[in-house]
Amino acid sequence: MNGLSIIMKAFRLEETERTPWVPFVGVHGGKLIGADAELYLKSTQLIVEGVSKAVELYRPDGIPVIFDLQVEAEILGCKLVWSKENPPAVVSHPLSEGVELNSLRLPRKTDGRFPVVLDAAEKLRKKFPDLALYGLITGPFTLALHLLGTDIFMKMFEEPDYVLEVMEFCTQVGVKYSRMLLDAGCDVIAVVDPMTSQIDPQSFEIFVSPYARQIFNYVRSSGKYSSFFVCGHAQQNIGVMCDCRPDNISIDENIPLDYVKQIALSKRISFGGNLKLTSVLLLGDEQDSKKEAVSCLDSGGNKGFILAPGCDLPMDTPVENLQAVTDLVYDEYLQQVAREMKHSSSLQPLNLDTHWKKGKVVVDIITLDSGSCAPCQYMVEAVKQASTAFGDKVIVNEHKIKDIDGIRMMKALGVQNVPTTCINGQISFISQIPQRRELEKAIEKAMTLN
Amino acid sequence: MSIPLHLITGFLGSGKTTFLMHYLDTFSKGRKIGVIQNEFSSAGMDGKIIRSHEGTYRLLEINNGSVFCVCLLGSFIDSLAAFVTDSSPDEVIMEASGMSDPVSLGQIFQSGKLRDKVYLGHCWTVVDARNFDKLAFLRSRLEHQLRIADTVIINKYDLAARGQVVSVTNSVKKLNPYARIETGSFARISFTGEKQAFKYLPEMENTESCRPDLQSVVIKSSRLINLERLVDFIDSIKDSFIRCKGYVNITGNRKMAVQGSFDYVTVDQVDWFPGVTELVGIGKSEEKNYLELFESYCNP
Repeated sequence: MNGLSIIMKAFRLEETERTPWVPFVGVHGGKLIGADAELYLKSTQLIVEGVSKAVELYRPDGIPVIFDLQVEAEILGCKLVWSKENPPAVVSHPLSEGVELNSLRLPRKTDGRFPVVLDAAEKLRKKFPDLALYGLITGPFTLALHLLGTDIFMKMFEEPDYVLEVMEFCTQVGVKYSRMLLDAGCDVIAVVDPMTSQIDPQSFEIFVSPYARQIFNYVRSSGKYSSFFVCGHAQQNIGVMCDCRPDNISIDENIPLDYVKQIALSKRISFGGNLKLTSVLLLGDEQDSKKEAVSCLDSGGNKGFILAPGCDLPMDTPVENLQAVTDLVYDEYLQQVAREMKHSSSLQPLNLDTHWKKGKVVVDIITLDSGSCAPCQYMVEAVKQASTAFGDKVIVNEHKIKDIDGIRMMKALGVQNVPTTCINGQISFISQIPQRRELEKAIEKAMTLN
Repeated sequence: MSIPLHLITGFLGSGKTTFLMHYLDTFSKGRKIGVIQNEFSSAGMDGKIIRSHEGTYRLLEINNGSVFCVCLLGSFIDSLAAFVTDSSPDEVIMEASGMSDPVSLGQIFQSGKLRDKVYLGHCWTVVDARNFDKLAFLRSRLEHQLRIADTVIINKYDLAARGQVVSVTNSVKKLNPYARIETGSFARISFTGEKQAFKYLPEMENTESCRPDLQSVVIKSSRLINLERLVDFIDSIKDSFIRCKGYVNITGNRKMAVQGSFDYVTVDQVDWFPGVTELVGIGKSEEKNYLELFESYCNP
């Protein structure tokens, strides 16, 4: 099944045979091709190259064209400061610096970096017809905050009507940019409104809901799908976000996934998230990433859930961490292994002092369970067959990581993957089932060293 | 030797920069203080104010604008690591954006590049006594910053009605019973006893040469844990932890406040509020995955 159709199924709350996976590759795409954030976000060619590389490495079902919440603000007169590792930052707020709201015009297709993004979307559409292409727009509240600066918060209290006028304008910008992105070939419009995490549900309903709803209604009337992205401490707003009727909501690690699942599904809306960005994907290793991913998969389930990072991937996110998540998405055995390993950190490695036998070769096979995991079964069979010729000079042990002692043995031997075969304590064969001759040679070599 | 990074949080206009100046006035003599400002939205105004201040400090301005969320913190790792190496300050004080999240910030201190350089020090949250009730719709962010605070400064008390100050003080006490509460005008508070309030290094404050290298640990998890298992978890880490604080989601829709140093840790039930478990700790520097360890104690 192609990525687009599995994501559409999730949006429609139909059961999926596996969980769809959408890595939010923004400036991380630049990292993949050796371009800094500024060059990357200003070049159609680099965006297409970066996203293509991400598609090759991470085998996603859907992917954003770019992740930059400053594109519309820049066109509307906000000054940007560019960085080499991040999307740019807005550093001036025209509506707080003397510019009148009624002097702002709705952007056109040719303004600012719209041509870069739209051109990239068209090219990616042609190149990856089966991928769900996400067009990201700045949510109306976040765009209003770009235009007004933090004055918006006092103005919500002192001049609410003015803030509502700004919101209406930002919504029109959002609808217009959505139309452009859909025309360029995007399948999903993601309304990214992180700043809504700052306000309470009552204010959300007054200042955000009517406007966000307009954008989602527009996308639906165009026959396409929408998602509402928020990050930060926004748990209080999940219900009102769903009431805006997007097709999907996407959240980060600050909100428990099972909480979102419960609210979203009760309101018949699909949901996504919330792989930990910093502590796991950026700073952790492959094992951490796998455990985190399986934890999300288990909470999310296979109905209406899309696995995604909590937000825009930091530029320097290690490729191998995201590939570890990718491998896990496509491989049920890996999921089982990660599940078994989830509670392993409090376990001590087994003491191996009495494990070795003089004059004998000890072969340890770390498996999930050869009774239920096919690759593990083939590994165990291969080792047993190869060792028969050596009689009692070879001792073969299977250690199932479904048992606590299996995990402790895995730790003691320094094994990271399952199935893995160790000969006299040396990791010899990882995941791949070796040929019989190869195994025999390895055992013979160990004998000569005994 | 790792150095503390202290945080000043609070909403825009509450008096964070004024407090920062007051801190520098008080502590910059004879100490090299690194200053980080992250309030770009006011067009670099704060940077100008701080530059006009005399004293021994180094300034690092972060060009990330309003840090939206954890996703923009990644690149801060390198600039902070370089700042600490190049300026070799005795301590760093950071004026965080009114919208930033101290716990997420603490997470980046766990990166290999920062682990042995900085740890999360004291956290002051500045509140404008007059605006606290006015900004009710922003409560969730303010409350989060208040819950994490070591010291809450109820500022501009001279401009507020007495009833307002009492009401804000009560609200703060309810949110964070452990924080020291100070009232101030122009963010001037007495620092007498403040070093004790750091609490991280109760006996080691004056014997820096023999204290172990410290690191910050942040545990952010959406998993639920039984109360008994939480106590077991705390027991398992107390030898390596000098201090920890935070709020933990317990089975049965309960929220516990955890606060303590060394082997004296209190766990008290507080009113439920939305949010995942967040524990911030200062521990001896060692390579250990505390998040994983915590989750191994959680319910399956």
